[in-house]
Amino acid sequence: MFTSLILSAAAAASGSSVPADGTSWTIHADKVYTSTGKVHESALIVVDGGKIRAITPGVEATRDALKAAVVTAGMIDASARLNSGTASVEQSSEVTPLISAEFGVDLFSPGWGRLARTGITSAFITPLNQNCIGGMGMVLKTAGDRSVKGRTVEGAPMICGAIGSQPSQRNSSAFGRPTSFFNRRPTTRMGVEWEWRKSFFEAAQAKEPDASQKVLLDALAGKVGVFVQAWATQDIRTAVFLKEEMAREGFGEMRLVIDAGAEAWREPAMLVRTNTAVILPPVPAQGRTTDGALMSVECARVLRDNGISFALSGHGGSRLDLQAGLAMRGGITREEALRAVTLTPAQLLGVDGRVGSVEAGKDADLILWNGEPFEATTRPVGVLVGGHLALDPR
Amino acid sequence: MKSSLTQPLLALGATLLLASSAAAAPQVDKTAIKAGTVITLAGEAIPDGVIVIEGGRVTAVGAASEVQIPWDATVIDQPGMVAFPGFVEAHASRGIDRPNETLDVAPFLDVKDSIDPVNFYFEEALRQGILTINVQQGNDTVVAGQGMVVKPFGMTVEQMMVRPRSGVKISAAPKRGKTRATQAQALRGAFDDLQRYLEEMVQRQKDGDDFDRREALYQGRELEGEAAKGKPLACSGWTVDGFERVPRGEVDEKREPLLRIIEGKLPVIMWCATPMDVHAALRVAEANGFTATMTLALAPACWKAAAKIKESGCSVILAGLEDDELDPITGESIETFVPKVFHDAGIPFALMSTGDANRSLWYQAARCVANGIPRADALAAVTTTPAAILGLGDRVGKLANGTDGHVVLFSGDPLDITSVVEHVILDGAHVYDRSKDVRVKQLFDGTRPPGTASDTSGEEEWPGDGDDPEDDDDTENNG
Amino acid sequence: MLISCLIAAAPLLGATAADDAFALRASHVHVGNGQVVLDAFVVVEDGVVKSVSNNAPRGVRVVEVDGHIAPGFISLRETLGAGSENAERTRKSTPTADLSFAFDPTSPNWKGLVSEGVTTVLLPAGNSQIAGGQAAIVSPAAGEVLKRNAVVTLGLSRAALGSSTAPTSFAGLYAHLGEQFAAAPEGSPLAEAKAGKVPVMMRAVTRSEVHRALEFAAAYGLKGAVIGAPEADDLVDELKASGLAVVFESKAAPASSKDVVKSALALSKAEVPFAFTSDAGSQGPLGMRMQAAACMRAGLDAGAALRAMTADAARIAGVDATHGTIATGRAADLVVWSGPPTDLTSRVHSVYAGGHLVHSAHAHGAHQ
Repeated sequence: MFTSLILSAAAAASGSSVPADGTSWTIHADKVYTSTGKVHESALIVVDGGKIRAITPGVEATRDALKAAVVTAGMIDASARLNSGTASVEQSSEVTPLISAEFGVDLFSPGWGRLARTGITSAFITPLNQNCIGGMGMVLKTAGDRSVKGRTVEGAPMICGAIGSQPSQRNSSAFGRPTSFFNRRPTTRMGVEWEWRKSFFEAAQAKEPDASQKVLLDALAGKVGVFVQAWATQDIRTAVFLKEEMAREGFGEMRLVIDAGAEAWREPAMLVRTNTAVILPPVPAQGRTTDGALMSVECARVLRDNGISFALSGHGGSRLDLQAGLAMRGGITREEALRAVTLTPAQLLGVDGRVGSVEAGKDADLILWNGEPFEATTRPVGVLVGGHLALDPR
Repeated sequence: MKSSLTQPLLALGATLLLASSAAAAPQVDKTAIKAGTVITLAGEAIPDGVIVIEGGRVTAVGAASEVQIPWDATVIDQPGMVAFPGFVEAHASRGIDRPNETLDVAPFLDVKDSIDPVNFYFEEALRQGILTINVQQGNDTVVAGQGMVVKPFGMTVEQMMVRPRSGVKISAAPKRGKTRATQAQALRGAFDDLQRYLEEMVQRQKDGDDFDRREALYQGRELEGEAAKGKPLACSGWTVDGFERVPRGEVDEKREPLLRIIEGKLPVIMWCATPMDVHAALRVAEANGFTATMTLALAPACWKAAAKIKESGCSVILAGLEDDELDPITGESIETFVPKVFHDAGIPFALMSTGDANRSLWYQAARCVANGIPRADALAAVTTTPAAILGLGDRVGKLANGTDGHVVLFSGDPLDITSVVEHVILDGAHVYDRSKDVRVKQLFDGTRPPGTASDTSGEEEWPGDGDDPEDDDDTENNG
Repeated sequence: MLISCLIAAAPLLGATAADDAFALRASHVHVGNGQVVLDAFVVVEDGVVKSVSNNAPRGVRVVEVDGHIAPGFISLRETLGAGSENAERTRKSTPTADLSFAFDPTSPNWKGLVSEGVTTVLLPAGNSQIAGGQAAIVSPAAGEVLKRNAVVTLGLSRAALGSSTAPTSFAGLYAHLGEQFAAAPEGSPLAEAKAGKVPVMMRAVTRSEVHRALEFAAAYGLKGAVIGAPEADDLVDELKASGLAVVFESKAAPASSKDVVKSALALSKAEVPFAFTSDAGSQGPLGMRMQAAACMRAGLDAGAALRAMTADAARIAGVDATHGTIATGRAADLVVWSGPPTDLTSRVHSVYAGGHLVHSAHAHGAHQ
């Protein structure tokens, strides 16, 4: 292993890093934050065939190397919301566990390029949160192949949905005869919660569960994660209590992740006792988010202080590096902020075998910064996704 | 003499911050501030520096070893903090009732009649270290009215006032309901009307008609001293022969601001939404002789007119850092960092804060640094440049002998992401202490001071009893 | 000596002229496959082209024509004469529907089309249908249905998603379609399409919709064409690999026709067949030729442009054995132009469908 490191460093030092297929590079950084806690000084990273081959600390830059002040792993937006809007969610039913997010993405949309250029190399995409249970989410690289299959990073399966006001918004009772399938329940928050419980109960009690119910059963058993949007405290409580109730009924132990948990800071105890992870939404401009949830920059710190696993998200519109900076402003360290946008979301989404840190063998998803990451005075000046340059630092 | 450090917290609806007595300008006789670093913006940063403020003005800035602190000065000693002059906002249309009147041409309107001292904007400005703000009307206008420079502290407009009648807001971009052609026509028309009026005044003087004098007296104006004298029209764009016959005090008060504009005595801030508007603005200014006293307030797309702006010598205020366009042929997104364009062209530029509490002036300056603008120039864009634009370059935006006694104490470097404003000293008085900032605390224990103005329009207000609205911790779902 | 065409305009419907043989002689005969025969005689008998040659035929009445002869245009999408009869509003999937029933030969809208040289039209289902049925090939000129159940139409664009009817998502649409294909009984239209016996026409507009459609076609072994795809130039490699053709709509929305021009050129270079349509765009029946002219101005050669309206269109629709070119055995759908058919300054003199004269411009004055 050591010899191969020396050999590759020598090969790199001979200046043979001109990329043939555009996925082989040598990168020199004054500092490499690996996201695992290790920091390399004056390191040379060799990228080949879209993978990180070697990292050698304590060497000088080679002539052809891309140079950066700091290199980190590419950021993973745990709730990127870059889907085709209403065409991504099958609203003819409120509970559609089998619908996959893969049909609801437009890889030709310019939004992907924008995400990639700001350093987001992987994004978790779900159907639009108009259903109670909208379908299966997936992790996609933000650049590269033109097909969904080519961009998918296989991870832990997750069913996605929402608890709160959003799923009931379009529904109404019928005036006279129903005129569309939106004349249905749920029309309120309690109806939304009822749909969730009903689906789980029916799945658990079905003699011959159909395909949808099989997925729900896997969710109950914890084999499929449950990714629930819940902005306000009352909705987070509903989600957590639902998990506890299912466990009490003997249906199994769900793996719960709260998406857009803006008010998760209010009652951390229930999240701790149920081992629930939280994805934080972008910090709002003036204190309140959707569903009137109150959130400040200090939310990340409160979650950290309570030992709750959390990741940050940009919702497609906000820069993730800014969110990381704001979380630092709220009291977490730079290293913790880095984990919250790299290794932690990778672990929560089950893709940490391929992405989430700068280690040999992982995908070459890297950000080259012009200074310490997440400062307002610095920005990504180079981005690689799978070894391809999405933002050219030269 | 009250020491501001021991004032009790005022639980009034508006100011959740320490305040001194409600009498005129809150001044303490002598204050000395000692900080780990003093950024003066009038030279090198001073490690272990001291600032002495007497009678509301800075009388000494320097290293602790070199500056003599008066024995009777109140000392604020913060060795871990960074002292900074306080940000300057060259243009803000917030903190007022509604941004614009429906009237097209209304130079006589004054923002002082609209400023609301308890508006959340001023509280937030103080929290963010913005200490000098030029409040102007909004962009939806032809000629909107006169602005005022204020400090974000005080219970009345008079207490907040730094300089009244600071400048006139004009828009080259079409007002709602107008086309580009009718906007240009209205703008030209305002000055054509003025010219015609002044000519008629001269004619009336020649005819011995004292209509103007009677009108002026009816408007309640004094016609003594300077006001009784006539002077030739000092406009570089056009002139009116014989205007020196007209006593200046007789000029109708509705048109008098326009007269001062063309004579270069009242500055103009001209709003432009597109590069085309910049051309229109420069044309109007050129024709009426006020290019030298005009500042352009620009939407991001106007970076394309930078060359023309450079020729004119005008300074600019940038309402937005980034311009995003889709290339019509390739469909790719073209992103331009706007301040860099102006920096590289050598055009003095000031930045504006946004409604986002996380992206205030410090953030705007920091983004400039991230995109390649040297730190000194980025800091200037939020301090000395806007101060110069407002004609207050000797008073605010820097720390030197004679400047106003405004100091912000940051927990670290002002551009660091983790730095926050810990203390604010205004005119020598300690007016803000973050550790006592109720609104910052309120986010974490759910209390809300009664009667505070709501910051958003959310209908999700808990019924107002100030207690945490969570009910008992039973395990049933409450839906 | 020129004998101008003085035959009075025969009625468009139910032509009662005798099925006698005759020949047209013209300075240029555009075969439709790129070939142009100069100073040629086209002999027509029993509604079918008997020969194309430079030799004068014997025993046959010869009509000397002052202009160019070209095959009648084939528009692969025209709903003008169908009213709204091609869109079944209550259900998204009616794969067995026979769209020839939507054809109203008496509709006055066809006249304008025929007078611009369009003799054959594909009548597909509306864009809001997922599996709207089987398109028919009709001849508005002759007033008859030429081929029933010719093409299976599939709607895979956003227009096929419901706002308050299922499915509302692309995932739902493809799940639904997948079920339909899986459950299709032997001999049914979808089963025939899977077996490659009947071509499909898949409507997809944005690049991601087209991409999805191509993946679906590959999964089920479908042949035929994608209709829409104004940004096809971005997907040339995928289209080439799929073996599908592209049909461009003439409606300007959602992408501008500039994109279509770029795409046509790219497809031409990559030898992917493509066709234009009339489809009652804002320019009316002239839309097809305008589209071709725009492509030619950007560099497409005239032969390729004509093919896109004749021979290639016929091949995409699966009727190239009988239509699309002027050759022995093909239907005598001929248009006499005052100049080259792809030239926008050329006007239609007369139109023959199945050997009958169905339109003559002289009645409106030869010079307009």
